[in-house]
Amino acid sequence: MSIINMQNLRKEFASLVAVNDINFSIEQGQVVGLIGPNGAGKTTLLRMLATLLPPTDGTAEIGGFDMRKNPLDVRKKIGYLPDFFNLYNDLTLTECLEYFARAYAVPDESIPQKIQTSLDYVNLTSKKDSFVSHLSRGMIQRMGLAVLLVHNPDIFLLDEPASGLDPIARIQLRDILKRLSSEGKTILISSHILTELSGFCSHIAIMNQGRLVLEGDIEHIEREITGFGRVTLKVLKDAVRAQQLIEKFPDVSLEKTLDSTFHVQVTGNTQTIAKLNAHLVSHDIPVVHISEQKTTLEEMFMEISKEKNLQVS
Amino acid sequence: MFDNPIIQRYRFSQFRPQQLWIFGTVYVGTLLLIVFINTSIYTIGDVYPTMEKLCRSLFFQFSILQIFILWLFMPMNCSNVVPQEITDKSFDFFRMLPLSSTKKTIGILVGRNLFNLLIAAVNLCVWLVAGLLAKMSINLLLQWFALLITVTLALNSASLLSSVLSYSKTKSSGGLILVLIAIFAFGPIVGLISETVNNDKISSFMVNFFNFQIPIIYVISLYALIGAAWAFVGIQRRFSCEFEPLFSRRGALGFMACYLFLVYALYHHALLSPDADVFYSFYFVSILPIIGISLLSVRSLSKYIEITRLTSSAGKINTEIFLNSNLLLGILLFLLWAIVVGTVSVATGFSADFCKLTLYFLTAWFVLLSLIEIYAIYSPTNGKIAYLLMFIAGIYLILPMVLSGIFENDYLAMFSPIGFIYSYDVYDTLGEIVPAFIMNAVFLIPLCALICKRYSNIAKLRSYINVNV
Repeated sequence: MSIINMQNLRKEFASLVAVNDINFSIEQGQVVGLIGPNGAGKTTLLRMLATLLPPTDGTAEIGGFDMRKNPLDVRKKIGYLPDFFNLYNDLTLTECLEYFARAYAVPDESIPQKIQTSLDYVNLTSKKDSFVSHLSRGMIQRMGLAVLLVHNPDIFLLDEPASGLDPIARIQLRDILKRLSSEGKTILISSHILTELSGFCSHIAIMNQGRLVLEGDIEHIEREITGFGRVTLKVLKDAVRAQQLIEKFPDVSLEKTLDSTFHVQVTGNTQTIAKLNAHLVSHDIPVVHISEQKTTLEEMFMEISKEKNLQVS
Repeated sequence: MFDNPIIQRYRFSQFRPQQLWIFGTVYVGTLLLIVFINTSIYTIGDVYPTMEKLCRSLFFQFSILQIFILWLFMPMNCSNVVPQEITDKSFDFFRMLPLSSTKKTIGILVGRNLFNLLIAAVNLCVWLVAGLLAKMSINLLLQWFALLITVTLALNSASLLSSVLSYSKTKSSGGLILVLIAIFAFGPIVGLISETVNNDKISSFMVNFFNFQIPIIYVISLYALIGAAWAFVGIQRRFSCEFEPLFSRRGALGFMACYLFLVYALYHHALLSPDADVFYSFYFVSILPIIGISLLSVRSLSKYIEITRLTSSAGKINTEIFLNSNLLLGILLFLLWAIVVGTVSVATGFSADFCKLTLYFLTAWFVLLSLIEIYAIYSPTNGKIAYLLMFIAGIYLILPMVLSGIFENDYLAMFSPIGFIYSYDVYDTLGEIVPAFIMNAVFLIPLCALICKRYSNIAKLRSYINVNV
């Protein structure tokens, strides 16, 4: 069931078409990474979905509500984290969360528990009586997520949530997002730092110059770009002969060799790897290690960029 | 009302014990100081010969204090709400709140001044006690109470409106403007309160509202209340249609109609007697807000491009642009004004004067309107064009008056609309103001050429986007 359904969504700024007639659906529970170079239209798209920017044309149905007709209902369904934000410096974390809980009509009796749960979730319980102004950048980012969690939305729209964070804060943030995704929340997360999306996005959507150039689940796109994928093989002996055999083997191309380790691009299916293994063994070359190498999002993005002739800034 | 989350958010920050007792002490200290100094003067000197005089003086001083709280501190607080949210980078969260624009407006107006309102409530009781002890009439106290409340509503709503108008700015000049207004308004306000304290005549000073005689303070309160209501509507529009100009088409015409109604209500009785000065005064006062309304309704170039999205042919695009243009709104506002004032001129027997003046002001208005339109359609490509246009408008409005002064020639002043208003009685016949028409017409030629050029570019741009993007 589609929880976000964009229909011809378009945004023009004078002569610039920032988002160009996007039609795209996101199912409940999907974690979609919105990828694209700077200026691709990611932030504009997210701000439109968050009802902060009126579309020039088209609309989107979010959580069953039309974003143009029922913006207040849409806002109750979503949690939007902008790319640059801060919270109220004159409030403590508990007060801040209470404010948002009341604004999002969380029942009075469950507010203390919601605040506690949200703070626990982002690991800020020890800071609950501190002022927001005393938090570090990473903590503010986590607190931003806590603000969204306090009203428990079904949909999270996150705009570059890890930008400006140090590696530790980035890992902490990624853990929180993984946990949210495991709880079945729908997440649309934009980023141009692709490693931060790796590992927990089920789908990706690639934008360039306002258009959606490619979208789908990661495995499907990976297959589309690289066939079955890459395999690493390690042989016990006779590496020179092994290399000759691999090079001559059908549906396989040798990408890189390092001593007795071979990085192989397989364009066939799993059978191809099994046959290659048997072929090497039959020539008295024992294979001691076979593993599939996942294509990173960076590699995929660069591959698609080459294919679609995208301008990557 | 107090379950409003925004009010509660401000309650957290304003009612912390450590700052509550500091500000509370400052207020109580000020209050005690005023009472101590005045009672000392009463006991020792002969400035206050009677207890009543002492209480009248206290009433005067508490009134000033109340005005400082309600008309200065509170509006200053409201005037920097949005710029502060933008500077603090919390504005997106505020905008995302699933609260109605009414709740947001009330939340800010009340919440932002929660502590000030508490102090004002205490001060109001003290003020009332001083007034009663001073044997002020209940009628006067009621009038003052109405004035305090309505002007407070008007000033605070207007301040918040000025704040929400500055979405793209990081700093607000609203506070500074308020301080400047306060400096100039302080004298008259003190004079008014002093007059009230010394004699009660102000409460029985009547003005005509249509044919009704109403105390002047109530009339001011009524107008302040209507101003507050419009400001409230304006704030709500800004919260719900953030990227639109303050006035919608209907809103602009509605505001103009309301303004004309209120001005006419004050002039109605005086216009019954055929006095040319009264008619001219009504004429000039009623035309004043047209420029302000037009400026606050300005649609930008991107809006023009947007509205022509579904139009295919270039001819239709030009028509579409004109129908949605600032020019058409300006013409409609002028037309509305002309219908009302024209009707009044016929009823009062000044139709010939009306025609003469209106022909002049129509051409002058076209010049100013063209400058506004040029700003709207050229500012996206040249952000500084506003300065050039303001310079041209300044020359157009001021230079003829300066030249009129230098050469001691009243006729030169008529080339400026402001100069024309000042010396309208100098020009008796239509023929005398023909040179001004000609100058306005000549001035309009390059302005119209610039506008037409841009309109045709919009049509071309739209066609290009439709085909290529």
